[in-house]
This record gives sequence, structure tokens and C-alpha cells, in this order.
Amino acid sequence: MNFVSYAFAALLLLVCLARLTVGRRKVEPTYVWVLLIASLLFYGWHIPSYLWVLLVSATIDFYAALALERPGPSPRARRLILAVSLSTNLGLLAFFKYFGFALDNLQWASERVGWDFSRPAWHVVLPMGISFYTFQSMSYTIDVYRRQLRALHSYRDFILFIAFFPQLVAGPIVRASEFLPQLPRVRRIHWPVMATGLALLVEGYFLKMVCADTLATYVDKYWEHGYRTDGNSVVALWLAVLFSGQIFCDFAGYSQIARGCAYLLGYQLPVNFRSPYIAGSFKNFWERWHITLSRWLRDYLYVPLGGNRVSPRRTYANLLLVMLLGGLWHGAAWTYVAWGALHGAALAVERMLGLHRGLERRPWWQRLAWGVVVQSVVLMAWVIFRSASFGGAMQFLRNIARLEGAPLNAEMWMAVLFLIPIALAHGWTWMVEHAWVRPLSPARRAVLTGVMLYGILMAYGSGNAFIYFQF
Amino acid sequence: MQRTAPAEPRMLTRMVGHRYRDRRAVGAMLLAVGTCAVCVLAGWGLWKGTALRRFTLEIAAAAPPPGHFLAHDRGGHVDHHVLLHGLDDDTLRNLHAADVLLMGNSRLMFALRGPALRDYFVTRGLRPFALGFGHEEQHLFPLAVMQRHGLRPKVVIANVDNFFGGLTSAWGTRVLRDSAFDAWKVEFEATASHAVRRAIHQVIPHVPDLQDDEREFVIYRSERDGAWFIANDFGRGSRLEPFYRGRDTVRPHNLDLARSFKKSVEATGARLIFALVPGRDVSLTHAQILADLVGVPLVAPDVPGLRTMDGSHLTDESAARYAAVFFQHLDRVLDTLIDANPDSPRQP
Repeated sequence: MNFVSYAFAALLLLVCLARLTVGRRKVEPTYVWVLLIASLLFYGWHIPSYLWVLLVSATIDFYAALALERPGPSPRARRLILAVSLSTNLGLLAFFKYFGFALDNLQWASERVGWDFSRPAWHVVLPMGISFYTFQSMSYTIDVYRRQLRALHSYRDFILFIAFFPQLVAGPIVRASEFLPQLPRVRRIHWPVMATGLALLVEGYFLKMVCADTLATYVDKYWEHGYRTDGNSVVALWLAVLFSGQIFCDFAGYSQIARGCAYLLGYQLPVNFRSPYIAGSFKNFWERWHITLSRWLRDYLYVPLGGNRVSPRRTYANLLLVMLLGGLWHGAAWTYVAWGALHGAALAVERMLGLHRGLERRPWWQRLAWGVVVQSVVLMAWVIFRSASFGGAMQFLRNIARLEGAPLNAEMWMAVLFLIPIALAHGWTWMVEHAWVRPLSPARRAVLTGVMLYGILMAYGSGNAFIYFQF
Repeated sequence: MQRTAPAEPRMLTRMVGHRYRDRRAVGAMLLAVGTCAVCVLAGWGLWKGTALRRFTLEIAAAAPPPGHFLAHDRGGHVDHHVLLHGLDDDTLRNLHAADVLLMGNSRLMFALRGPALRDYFVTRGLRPFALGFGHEEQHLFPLAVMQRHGLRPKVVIANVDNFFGGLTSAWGTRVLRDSAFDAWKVEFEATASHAVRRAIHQVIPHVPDLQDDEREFVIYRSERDGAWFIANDFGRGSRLEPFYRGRDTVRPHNLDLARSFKKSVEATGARLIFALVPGRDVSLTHAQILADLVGVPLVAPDVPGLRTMDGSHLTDESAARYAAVFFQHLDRVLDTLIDANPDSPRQP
């Protein structure tokens, strides 16, 4: 189910009604059941048969965690249990997400070496949000294995943790240690929480329906211009900037809606975006962009690989590997791998230059210069991320690098208008972080929310699915 | 007593604190709603009370005529799902009862619609059903509809403007793959969205729709005969370009598809007629060669002075004028076909 749909509006309304009636106080089982059924309905609305993928993944992890916690198993047996759980999740992910990609590459390689291999015409439909919920489920088992978390004994509660509908298909990737303690919590209706939830919903829908969807119209219409050998630099740069705005609004909008819904239902989800385009370093960018994925990769991949506690060369290799896998997590295409590799290399170079920390103690012009470099590389990486092929992306970047001048026409200025809310929000965050201004008071935030609500009704763009649904 | 006494004022303070915060939160929500209401009022005043009133928003005025279902609004071609999956009982019944099926692209659907279509066929004692689709749909999708519902018309009229390419549009491919549940979801979303949009935009202008270039058409489809009812004007009006009459050829691939289509149609007991509605880059030569090679009559009148809404689709007035001429030409062809086929109905 898409957040921007009437089916979702009806579902949310029903669940909110349940919250106000059967879910007013304490741990009402009826309310938990309502949430669980709503979550499964939300997921099954897309392709009902793919509910089994989610349930298989979650069931194996549930029992694996119970087995891990039982007294008795030797360390070897515990490792085996963890391996079964991880291989199930990764196996499902590999089959649904990377099987077609592997066949395509096999076909390509066989053509090069002269093997007689013709790719079967199988087409596997990707279950929505599989990358998100398998990661969430895996983190639970790993935490239990590390004895950082007690296994949950209620299957119902565990399925709710995995399938909780606001964050099911596109995150934030919630840790069990963040979500599970909220289950038995007394959830009285606090009006400040409701007000925050509604404000987050409106902000999220504004980002998605007004900014992301409108920017998408221009990006989709003209993107291929960037692949042309005679493509204009200004147009290519304009498109790259628009896409960077679109993907931010799309994903940050989704995360805000998810957080808003969770607030309304009595839960809290972690922040996923913190104005990433004001980041002054690559490290800082990943502390602001898709925060829950970054920390997942850090805690379950980078640190176990040795993180920065090994030799500098190994640390650089770890960074590169983690970001390569992070790129591949986004999708089964070489452009995503290249996007991840570029970010990994950038993080390694930054660490090599010693710019990953203590940047704030450097002179302002150095901070500014490195900030410009960081954002330029991020922009370049978005071009690779969006392009249909690596060759296309290179041509796109070559077009930008030619630095030809051309005035922006009326249509281009019109599109730029939809970047203004993003620029204002980023600028405001920067000023708040530097203590130039205080955060918005509730009254001012309420006025802004009212204006954004009107903005949504007056200027919503063409409805598009969220970009991150495909991941 | 000593343990409970200090707790009471604390609890009281906490309750007062809760109440204060709750009041502030409710106040903030009311302020947000009030701000939005002020914006709505100011926006409406600015729109209707100034020269901006010349920008009209047809979605607010567009109302479905009785006996019609939503076919298209904001990029959603709902009629694909409704017709293939038989979501509307009346439409499905009329589709089954149809003697004449008209197939083709949106040019045909704009050109042959309204009372002109109904009146002509009714006087001939035939029940028509326009089974054309927009969105780059070629012959495969309407053929799939015909086969799924086991339709047995007497005559099929196909507008051969880019009709035999052997492709299904991306939307059509999705519809063919979709289950009945998916179809229901699409129809529900589109219909709900359309109803809400119509209500909201009575008072709040949708700014992108006010621009001529950004405007999309809103179409309803008749349950009785499948004809489109165009609820708004869109695009910039211009003259309809006449047929291309220069040199042209028919590729073997297209010819094979046309022959195969004819075979499929005739297998149901129907006779096939080709038609050609004029437009930009529409080749009369190609259509004539194709019709001759397949052995099917072609109806392609050239009507001068027609105007379009957007360079491609006829306005109401031009459509009525075009339809009158088209049916005169079709009349002769139908007479010949009916003479050749004694089972076909005759003019009453």
C-alpha cells in the first residue's frame, strides 16, 4: 500500500479510531491485534502472496532467537543457529533481488567467453520493502546472539515489530531494542504527541506530494537529455540538482510520514534524515542521510569487519566494502554498486586526509572548500544512482564537466522553485545547529504546518510511487 | 502519611503540567487548521475576486453524465481495467450485446462519440460499443478484451492508425498482468481521488491544472456504448492536419499482424472494416495499401476545416461534423457487407 493512496488513508483512519477506543490505555491486546492485522493488510495489499516471504523470514528469526537464548547450546551451535537465520534472510534477498541481475551478468559473461548460455525469461517480482524488513529481522537475531537483547517470547509481538506498517516498506530501519520496549508501555493519549504526529504527517506529505512529485515530472521528462553527446552543461547540472532534491524529498518525506503515523499510533521511530545537504564531510553526510541504514551498516558490518581498530589500509578497505554492499543493497544494478563505491572511496580519502574529524577546528575557508567538494561528489554520485547505465552516467557527467553556459528558461526556473522549501529547511537546520536561531516554537510550527497543508491541496504533483519502495 | 504527603503536590503539579501541555497542543492544532482555513479563504478570494478568475478549473465543473464511469483522470486510464476485468456489470452486459465494436486509439475515440455514434447505429438496428483506448494502445489489448469476454460482434471497425505494431502499452501490459483484485484497487483509488479532487477544487485552485500546458483531460465512458465523454478542454486548440498522401509502404510484420487480427475477428463470426481518422503523420497511403493487401474495406473520409483541442484530438463541434461524414461513408460499406452476408442485420 502506498502512503499516498486513499486505501492507506482509510486504513490509517481505522487504526487511529482503534487507538482512540480500544487502544487508549495500557497494553490492550485488541489494539495490538488491530495493529498487526492492519500491518499485514498494508503489506498484502501490494501482492498478497508475498506475505509468506515476510512471515518465513520473521518466523525463522523468531525461533532462532529463542534457540539462541535457551541455556545449553555450545558456541558452535549458537553460531550455526545464527548462520541459519542469516542465510535464510540473505537467501530470500538474493533470490528476489539479485537473481535476475546474476542471470543478466551470466548471460553477458557467457557471450564474452563464447559459452552457450541463454538467459531464462524468468521475471521475479521484488516483494516491496524486502531489503528493509530482512535487515530489521537480522539485526534482532544478531543482537540476541550477541546477548545484547533478550529474545521475545510472543510471536504476535515479534511479527508486529517486523511488520509495523508505518516503517515496513521503506524504513526507518528500526532496532529491536528501540521498538520492543515500546510494546508493553502505557500509551495514554498525549495531545502534544498527537500534534507532533500530525505535523510530521503534513511535513512528510508536503515533501512528497508537492516537492518530490513535481521535481520527478521534470527529471523524468528530461533526464535522457543528459545522455546525449551534445547535451548542454547547464541543463545536465539542473537535472542533477533537481534529482538530488527529488530523492531527498521522496525519501525524507516517506520517513516523516512513517514517523508521524507511528506517533499517532503511540510509537516512536528514529529520525532518518537531518538536512544532509549541509554536511561538511562525507562522514557527516552519512550521519544525516538515511541514518538508520548507516548505523546498521556500521554496527553489523563495519565494526565486525574491524572498523577503524585495524590498520589504516584495512580501514579503507572496510569502508569501501561496506559502502559497496550499501550500494548493492539499494538495487541490483552496477550503477548502484558504482554509487556505493564512490561514497566508499570518498570516505576512505577523507579519512586518509584526516578530514573526517576535527573539521570544526579548521579555518572557515577550509571547511567551506571541503563542504563544496563533499556536496559536489554527492551530486555526482546521484547522477550515477539515477542513470540507467554506467555509460549513460559517464556521458551525463562529461556534459556537466564541459561547463558550457546557457540561461535558464521559464520552465527551468519553475522547477527550481520547488527546491526552495528544501533550501530553506536546510538553511534553518544549519542556523539552529550553529545557535544562530532557536528551533521553531510550537505556535510557529503550527502556522507553518497550516501553510504546508494548504500547499499540498493547491500544488500536489502527479502521483508517483516512492523511489525507495523498489529497494 | 509522611511518604504520601509530598507525593500529592507532585502528582498535582504533574497533572497540571499535563493539562497545560495538552491545552497548548490542542491550541497548536487549532492554529494549524485556522492558518490553513485563512489560506483557503485568501486563495479563493484572490482566485475568484481578481483578474485571476479567467483561469478556470474544469475538474471542479466536470460532472459525469448519468450512465458513465470514470475513464481517465490525472494519468490513470481506469477504463482499461474496467473493460478487461469486467468491473462494471452494465458495461459488461452492453459489451456482450454489441453488434459493432469500434477499436483504435484516442483519435478515434474523440472523433466518434456522443449522440452521433448512437443515433447512426440505432437507425441501422445495430448496437455499437466503442472499444478504443488511449495511451498508445494497439490491437492486442482490445483483442484481449474481446477474447476474455468471448465477444461475438457482427462488425469490427478498426482505426488502423498505428494499430498493428504488435505492442501493448506499458499501462496495458500492467492491466493484462493484474488480477481482479488489482483492478478493483485501481478503480477504487482513481474514483475516490477523482471525487475528492472535484470537491476540494471547488474552493482551492489546483495551480498546475490552471496552466494550459499542464492540463490533462478528464474523460468518462458510457456504460451503454463505451463512447468517451470529454469533460474538459485541454491543451491549445489548433487545426487538424490532413492525411499524409505521399509514398509509403507496409512492412511485412505489420501486414502479418493485420492478417492475423482479421483471422481472429472473423473466427468470432464478425466482419472487419478498417477506418482511418486524420491527424498529424497519419498516412492514408499506408492504410489503403494495408486494406488492399488484407482484403478489408477502408473508410477514411477527409473532412476539411476540423479543429482539435491539442493538435490531435477533435473538439466537440469538429467531432460531430467528422462523425456525420464518416457515417455517410461507412453506410455504403455496411450496405455492401450486409448484402454479402445475409445473416447480418439490415436497416429497419
